[in-house]
Amino acid sequence: MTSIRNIMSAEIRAQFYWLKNNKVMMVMTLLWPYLMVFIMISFGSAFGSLEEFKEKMGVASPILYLFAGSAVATASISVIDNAAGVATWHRWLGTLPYVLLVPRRFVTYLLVSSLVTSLVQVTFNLASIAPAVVVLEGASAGFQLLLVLGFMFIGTLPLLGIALLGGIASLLASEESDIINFLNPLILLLSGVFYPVKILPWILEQASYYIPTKYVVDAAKLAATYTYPPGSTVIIILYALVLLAVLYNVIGVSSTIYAERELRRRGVR
Amino acid sequence: MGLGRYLLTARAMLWLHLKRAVRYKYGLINWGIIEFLYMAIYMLGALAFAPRSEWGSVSQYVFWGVLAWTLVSTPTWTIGNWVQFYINMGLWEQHETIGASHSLFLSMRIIPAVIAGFIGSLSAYGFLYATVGGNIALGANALLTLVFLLWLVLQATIYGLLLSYLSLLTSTPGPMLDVLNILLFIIGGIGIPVAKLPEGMRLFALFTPYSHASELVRWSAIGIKPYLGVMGEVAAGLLTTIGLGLTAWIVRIKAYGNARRNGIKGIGRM
Repeated sequence: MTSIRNIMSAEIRAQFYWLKNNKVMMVMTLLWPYLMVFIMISFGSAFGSLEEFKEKMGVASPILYLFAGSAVATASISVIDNAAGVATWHRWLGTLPYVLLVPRRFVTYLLVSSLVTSLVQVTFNLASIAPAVVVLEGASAGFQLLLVLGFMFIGTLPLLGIALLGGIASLLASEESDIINFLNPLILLLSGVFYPVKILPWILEQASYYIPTKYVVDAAKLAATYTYPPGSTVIIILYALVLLAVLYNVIGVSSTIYAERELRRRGVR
Repeated sequence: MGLGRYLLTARAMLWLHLKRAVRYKYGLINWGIIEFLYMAIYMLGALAFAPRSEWGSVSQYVFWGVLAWTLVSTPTWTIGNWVQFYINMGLWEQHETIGASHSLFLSMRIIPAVIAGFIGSLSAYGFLYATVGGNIALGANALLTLVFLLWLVLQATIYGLLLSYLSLLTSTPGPMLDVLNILLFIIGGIGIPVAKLPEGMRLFALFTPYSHASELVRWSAIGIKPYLGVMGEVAAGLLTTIGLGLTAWIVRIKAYGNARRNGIKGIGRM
């Protein structure tokens, strides 16, 4: 049976060669957070000011925050896209029946491959902004970025649980793409990356507490405000992320096990 | 290919895309929701930079800017990205064999793209109204606004095809080549009125097709005076659209020639 180590190794190699063999794609991936920062600053500044943004977000360094926030947003999109898209990708290619029939459980393959891909992508996204952050904010900001990276790693776990639900929903509904793909922008909307969540309508503000990325964004705010973030706040963020990781993965994994059984019974359509 | 056969092919492709839209209805609704959510993120992001007392006037600019951007980006992304699916599914070879137009097939992706854009725009209007209040879409001249919005869709279709041809040449998915398209949101005068842009960007914006149609949308919807005047914007818009079309045509010849000479290559995943 294919070992978990083999799946991990294959995913790392696949990621490496996707980027190595397609330099344009690699450069564009590196550029995304910069583009997001440029767009938000330019668009916002045309109708207001960075000072107003700084005050509304409650951060000391809006530039550092915008870079970290954009990288978190890009990473969050990557995690959901990769994990939810892998199953539909296999169906597109016609390899899904084979993946479903290998001795290693489908759910194990999905979890392990998605986790590895996500961690590689998250590191790549955060690393891409490091040069700008260090040049603009100094070497100490680089360490603060590591803090955000750490939180994003933990934030990846609950996001994976959510992504699993998206992937299997598309397979069961026999749709061509991830039909609950709207979760991706919904997560961004509720995370308040570019605005404080308190400007959202009340019901959406309450919903934001169930979104893992919101806590990673909170960590980015801490990193953009304090050299040494307060320990109590850090623990609260960690606690929330772990709780959400357990909740979403229990739901995601059980649903995937059900979907696996269904797909084996009725076949892939 | 004669006109009769071309029209028959177009009818078959239209049928296919409509059939597909119904077949994948959940995906289409999901797509409309995605459009709405991204519009909401950009609109709220811009409002975070403005004092609350100015949200009423800022939201008008923001709504029409983001709406224009949605109508530009959705067809562009859809057409530019679909070439990957088109090749993976073996549709290139099938169309090549029967002599059907690849460009026509790809450009018909605007059907679901416009439906999704419509769902997204209406929802975004409701969301912004609920958040800010007041009259955001004044609709100074609704018919002209619609005409200029459709002009933007046409420009985006041509640009999407250009990205598809570039994808064929570089084996890179359209959206990844689409950095310029995203930058145009700002420096191309789509999201921000041309008059509000810094000097260098303003000059650049005047040479892009989207800025003129966007200026005209703002003029017809909320009465903002276009930078070059109405007739000036129409003339400049037509010229730049023709320029974009010619560029797409030249790249198309190169991409098809390359694919027919060396065989079609798969396009990498994002």
